[in-house]
This record gives sequence, C-alpha cells and structure tokens, in this order.
Amino acid sequence: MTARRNPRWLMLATIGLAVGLVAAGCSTGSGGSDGSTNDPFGDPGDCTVIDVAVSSEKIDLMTDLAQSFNRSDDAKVGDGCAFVRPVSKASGGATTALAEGWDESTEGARPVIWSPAASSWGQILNQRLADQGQPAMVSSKPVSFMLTPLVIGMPKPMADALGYPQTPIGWADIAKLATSGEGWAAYGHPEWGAFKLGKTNPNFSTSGLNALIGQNYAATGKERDLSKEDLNDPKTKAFGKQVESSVVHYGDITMTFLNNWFRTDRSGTSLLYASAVAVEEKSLIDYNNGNPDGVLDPGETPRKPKVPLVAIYPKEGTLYSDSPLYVVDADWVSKDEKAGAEAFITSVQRPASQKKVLKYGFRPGNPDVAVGAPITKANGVDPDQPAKLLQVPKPEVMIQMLDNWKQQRKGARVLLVLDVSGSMEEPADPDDPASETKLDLAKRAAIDALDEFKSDDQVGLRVFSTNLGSNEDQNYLDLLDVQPMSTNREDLASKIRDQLPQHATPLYEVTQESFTDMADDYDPSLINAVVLLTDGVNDDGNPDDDRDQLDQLLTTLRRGTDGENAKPIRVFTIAYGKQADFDTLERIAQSTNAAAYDASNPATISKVFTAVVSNF
Amino acid sequence: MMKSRGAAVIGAFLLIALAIFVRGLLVDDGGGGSDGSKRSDGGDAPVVACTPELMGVCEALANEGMIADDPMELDLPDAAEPPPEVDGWITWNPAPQIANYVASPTLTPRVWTTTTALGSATELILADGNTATNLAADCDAKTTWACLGALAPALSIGVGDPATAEGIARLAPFAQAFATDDDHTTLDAQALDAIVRSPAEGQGDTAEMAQRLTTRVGSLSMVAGPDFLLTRQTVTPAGRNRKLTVIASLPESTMTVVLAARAGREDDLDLACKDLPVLATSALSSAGAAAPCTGSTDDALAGFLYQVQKKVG
Repeated sequence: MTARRNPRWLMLATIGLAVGLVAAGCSTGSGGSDGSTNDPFGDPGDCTVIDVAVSSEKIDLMTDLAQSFNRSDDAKVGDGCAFVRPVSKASGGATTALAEGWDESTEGARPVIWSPAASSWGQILNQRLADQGQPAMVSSKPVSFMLTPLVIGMPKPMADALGYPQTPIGWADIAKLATSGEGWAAYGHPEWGAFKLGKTNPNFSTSGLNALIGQNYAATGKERDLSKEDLNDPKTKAFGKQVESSVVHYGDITMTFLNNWFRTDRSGTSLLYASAVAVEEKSLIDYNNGNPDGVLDPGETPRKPKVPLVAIYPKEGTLYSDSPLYVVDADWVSKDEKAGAEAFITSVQRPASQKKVLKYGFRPGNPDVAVGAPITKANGVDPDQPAKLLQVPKPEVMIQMLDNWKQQRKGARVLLVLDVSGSMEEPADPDDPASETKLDLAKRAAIDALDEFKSDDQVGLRVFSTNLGSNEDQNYLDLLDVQPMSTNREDLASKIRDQLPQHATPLYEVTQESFTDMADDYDPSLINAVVLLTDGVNDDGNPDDDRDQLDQLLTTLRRGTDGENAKPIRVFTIAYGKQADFDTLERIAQSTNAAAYDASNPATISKVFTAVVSNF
Repeated sequence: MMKSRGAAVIGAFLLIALAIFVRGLLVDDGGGGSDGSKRSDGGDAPVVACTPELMGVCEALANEGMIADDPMELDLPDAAEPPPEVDGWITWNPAPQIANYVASPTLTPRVWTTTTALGSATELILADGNTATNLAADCDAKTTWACLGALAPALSIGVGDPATAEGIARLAPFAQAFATDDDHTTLDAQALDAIVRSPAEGQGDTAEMAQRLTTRVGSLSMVAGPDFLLTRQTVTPAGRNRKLTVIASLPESTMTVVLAARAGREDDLDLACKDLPVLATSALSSAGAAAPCTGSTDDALAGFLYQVQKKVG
C-alpha cells in the first residue's frame, strides 16, 4: 500500500541494466572454489533445509553463523526446525543464474536466501527480470547485516613512500603515478619499477565496479550526480585511460591478486607484482592476517605476510558493499523455507552474531556491536574512515560508464593455446556417449569468449598435440599470429571451429614456447598473456624427462615474471575435464602471477572461459 | 424422572449453544478483516492506516481491538486518494492537510478533517563526534537550522524524504529557515535541495538514518529527527564508539503524531488519546513521539510545505 519512494532503487537499478548487457555466465570463480559445498554441516535430519547462496568473501563467516544457528533455539520454527546450509556463489554468477531460472544441474541447489556482496546485484536481478517481463525476485529494501568499504590496498612501504596517511591519496594520485615515466623512482624507489594496479573487471566483480565508479567521480571532482555528460567529457575519458594503463590484469575475483601477492611475498617480490589493488577492507584484513583468500582450509595455518598492506580510503570518496540478505521470492521457495529463512535473518542480526561479523573483518550492521578489532590500525585499516561516501550513479549513467570502460581498459595481447589431443574426442558427458565431444564444447566456449575482446586487443591462436603439420613432426601449430581483433576476429572463430582431435599432449613444451614467443614481442602498454586450455597431463612420448621439463618450464616462467627487468607474460590455465592435471596447471599459472581455472566439469567450460577472458 | 430428563435435554441444548458460541469466537478470532475491510461481525472498529514508521502504533491498536485488524500502510503520495475503506490515518502533522492540498489546492472538498494529537517530540540533531566539534566553529556557537542547512552539501544531512509525511515534517524547520515568513515564493529551493540530496545513499526515515550514521562511517554527517530516536543511538556501543552527540537547534521545532479523520467519518473514529493502550504509547515512543498526548495539530504550515514538496520532493 505504501508508496514511499526509494531514490536508491533507481540508482542501483543502474547496475542491473549495465550488467544485463554483459550477462554472459559471469564468473564461476577460479580455482574451483566457487559453488563448492564442502559440507561442514552434517545431516539436517527432519529439519527444513534452507539453502543459502553467498558471495565468496563471506562464506567462512556464513558457515560459522549457520552452524551456530542450526544448533540454537532460533532454528525452531513453528512445530519444526530450520537447517541453514550456505554455499559460495559469486555475486555476478548468482545474479545470472537467478535471472535464468537457476539450473540445478550446473549451479547446485536453488537458494532460499541469496546474499551477494552488495545490494546493487539485487537491483540488477530485478531489472533483468523486469526486462524479461517477470516480477521482482528480491526485495528493494533488504536487511543489510554487515558492511565493508572499498579501499585501495597498498604494500606498507609504498604507502609510506607516498606519505599516507598524512598525505591523503586518491584515484587522482593513482592516475598520476600510472602515467609517470619515472614510476616509483620519483619517490626514491627505482627498485620498485613502474606503478602497477590490480583491479577486477567491473562487469563481474563488486570491487571492480565500485572502483570504476570511484575513479569516474574522481575524474570529475564530484561526489554525487555523475552524469553521462561527465563521463563523455574528454578529460574524464583521459583520466580513465591513465588509471587503466597501469593495470596488471583484470579478472573476476580480487582473491587472484591477493593470492599472487601473498605468494610473491614469500619470495620477496610482492612489490614487483603489484603496487596497489582495489579491494574490500575485509579482504585486506584477511591478507594481513595471513589468510589472503579469506578461507581457511582444513590444516591451513595463517602466516602473516612479510610486507603488510595498508588500506587507502580514496580521498575522493568510496562505496560500501552492504551484504544484503534476500529471501528469494520464487516458486521453489516453500512457506516453511521462507519462515526458516526469516528466522535465520533475525538470528544474524543479534549481537552475538554481529560479534562474529566483526571477528571476520566486516563492520557490523547492528549498532549494538561497536566496530573494534580486527578493524584496527594495527591491521592496516582505519575504523574512522571512509570520510566520504559516493552516490551510486543512475542506471543510464552506469551503462555509459561500463561502455566507456570497454574503450578505456588496458588493451590485451593474448595467445590462445588450445589442446587438440586425442582425448578431446571423448564425450563431454561420460555417461552419455552420444553427447558432444569435449573439443566441441571447448571450441564453442572459445568462440563465444572472443566477443569479450575489444577490436584493438591483439589475439592469436596456437593449437597443440603431437605429430602435427604436413610432415606430422610438430608439437604445435600457429594458426593465426597475434593480431588486432579488428582484422582476425572472423578468422579466429573459423580456425577454432575447424579443429579436430589429434594425438598426444606435449603440454610443457608448448607452454614454454608460447611463453617465450610472447615475451619476445612483449608490449608493456598491454596485458600480455597466454590462455592455455588442456584436458590432460604432459604426454610427449618421453615420460622420463617430464620432471626436468617441468622444472625448467617453471624456472623460465618465474625468471620472466619477477625481477626489475621482467617481461611478465601471464599464463592463465584452464584444467578441462576430470583428467586434467590441475595441480601442475596451477603451478604454471602461479609462476606467472596469473590464475588457474577449474573446468573439471566440461559443462562449465563456457563460464570458465568467460571468467578467464575477464582478465583482459 | 421426567424432571431429570428435561434437565438433561436443557443441559444438552445449553452445551450445544455454548459450543456454537465458542466456535463462533474461535472463527472470528482467526479471520476478520484480512482484506482490510471492517469486521464481518458488523463491529464498529474503524479502519485506520499508518505511515510506515508508525505501523507499530496501528498494530498495537489493532491488537487491542480499537481499530480493525490488519492495518495498512499509507503515506503521503497515496493519502490524497486513500482506499475507500480507510476511516482514519495516523501520521505526522501536517501531512493530512498537505494531502488535502494535493487532492484539491482549494481544499474543496477535503479528504481529511479533524486531527487529534497522539504524541510529540522535539526535533534535534544527531552528529558524529567530529561534526559536533566543528559545529561550534561553523555556526558561531549558535546552532540554527539555517546554519546547519548551509553546511550541505559539504556535510551530508539526513532530513528525510520530503515525499513522505515523516520526511516533510523533519524538513520543515530547514525549509522555514530558507524562506521568509513561511512564504514559499521566497524559498531558496536550491539550498534546500542541496540538503535533501546531500546523503550519497539517499534520504530515509529517522530510525534508519540514525542507524546509518552510527554504522556506516562516512555515509552521513548528521541526522535531524525526533529526540528519542536520536538519543538512543548515542548509548549504543557503536554510537559511543563514534562519539555521537545530540544537539539542539534553534528555533525549537516540534514534531507531532496525529490521528486524522476521513471527511464525513469523524464520528466513526472514536479514539481518545488518553485511552490509548500502553502498547500503543510504547509504539509511539519507539517511533519517536515519546511525549504522549502532547503536540500541536496546527496545520498552518501545510500550504507552505505543500509548495516545498513540489519544489524539492
């Protein structure tokens, strides 16, 4: 009945429209963590199971809260009981899954509660549903039970060199640093090289989107009412290009950067990998406490980094991720499930739960729990910041912002390296011999992913197997040189489409050669990368030298990646199918400070490919 | 023998009658007014709506049977044309008269007529420690609505959504400060608009904004609203942590919760403030009107605020 206006709705719906344009599967996350159940809950017995899809940064917290709830009197609902079971689900991926009806065969159990990183995703979902003529699925006024602001995470020595916090720092300073020919030499540290920024893809990630909003506001000097005219001002566009020019690579989740930073910290090269990363405050606290991905696996002991990070709250203002809790309004949610969901939502707002929220590094939404440890200066963050909050722009402005970003983002120079070995001929679904082959699925995913490249990105194609070429003596073939997409987009699709399964899998050789070839023509103004897809283990006919080959390969990759004179070529790997050697592929990716992606279920290859291409 | 048989028959009839009576009570208890209409038993409980932040008052009255079950929300945008079954409206003064202006600028006919004051509060300012410290210098040690308002948009101020009854009531002293003699033609609408648009996350009701100020560092500098809602934030652990302070601003401004009667149904609305149940007065306090049965029903500002709403609403 009430007709109260909610101005924020319009602002947030923005993002909905914007992301609606990008839609494509969004991220399934790297490293295979996304969507995992890891069942720490046990048997629900006769209780009503409440499945909860939560964004990855808070899965540990939600698991903890759910376990407490399931044991408590709060779980007694009516004559029965509720049993809450959270799983990790990237916000963008869940948005798309919900908008498309949530296919349980690929996405897992349909959620009763959905908690993305920010309520903007809920508005996105409703907007997408409205575009399809469907009713809203989530409330426009959700319970926000905790908060975390977007910050610029920077290694402490670098923040010290810039004079922070005495000297406020913002996106304008990042732009200046990015375009300074001197880099860190201007601050007395030539050994740190150029300024390098880590930033996720705003079409996939909440932190990437919030960072993009922040940098556009900074370009205009505004804190609210950002307009399309502002965005199309040549000065704003130039500012955007300046910031983006320093990007290491993009990607779908901030954990990729934090994991790489953490690993390079052990070898003393973290300052060379990245100078700053746009990240949520909570993740920075996790990093400084030795838990860079925010998830403590069984047996994992947190080890504090040698070089901690400092949270820079941009002087121009920032935005919060507000962790809304939505009871999904869908036909798969029963009355009992809804009642159980509401009981859980009430429970997590209680002071006892809110103390856990704080323990995990989020800011409580209930004023009965004051912000305190671990949100302290000792952990690199400042509870009295941010000083300014930015307004979420209107929908049409957001769309324009994302459109402009496509042109402003750092260009890419990418070699696609596809496995066409004989095992790719196997059916994608082992239980269905008549299903498409793994190669068929991979080809379609690769062709679809080509759409994500902009016209001046440079992309080439290499395929590998044994006995290739007219003389059947080559282990890989270059089908297309690395060229601008404007000239070879159609050829790439055609060549990929033509591939047939061949022989064995000379994985190490082709990886080494691809890395070296890309390094030979390294272009520092672009993101230089190899995307390597394989469904097997190294198999070149000579297993005796596999270990030496791998050692040599990893050494080559590390030498080329680290150090002052490095020419970092990021090797993003995709482990395709159950036989793929994920561990080795992860070592390869990590050696180049990139990321490994898990497509052990061939049905997910399309999403995984999209996630990989989000790095560019 | 005949006597005892007769007594048994009469007893059986009495039991049946009692059972029917009890069943009737049970059935009545479980239904009644789910569609928002008057009770099916022909009872006289009036249908009363409340603005969203005052729904607790309506629910308390419904629980006591003083108004019809399942009270509905009604706020200013819909109050000029309320649902036909609504007899009364609990809201912030002078929303009923503003709704009358919306329905007919000449006030003929009126939608709402007599109003009764149910409770009131002094409008104050809740500010974080830094803002409060700086206010002394910013306002030359004399905090006025005009001075506070002039600090926007450099400072973000929670004054409520002017489209709502609660919001326009909170905004009233700021609007008066930016006009001369409550003449809307003298209103500095740009300055007032700057205040309304100053919070990055938009305006909300007092309770929500006071919590936002407490928990979302950087989101707001201060919030205007009923004293009780602001003061209680200062004693929360987070409020103490942030050194939240309540500040009085001049000239003193009072916000009043009123019960307005639908035109022509004044006699159906037999609710005397002194008869309000404890739960209702408690709900009034929770919504900010902590002084029961006090306040003003004067609606002289309604015309001015109607114009203000058109300019910044």
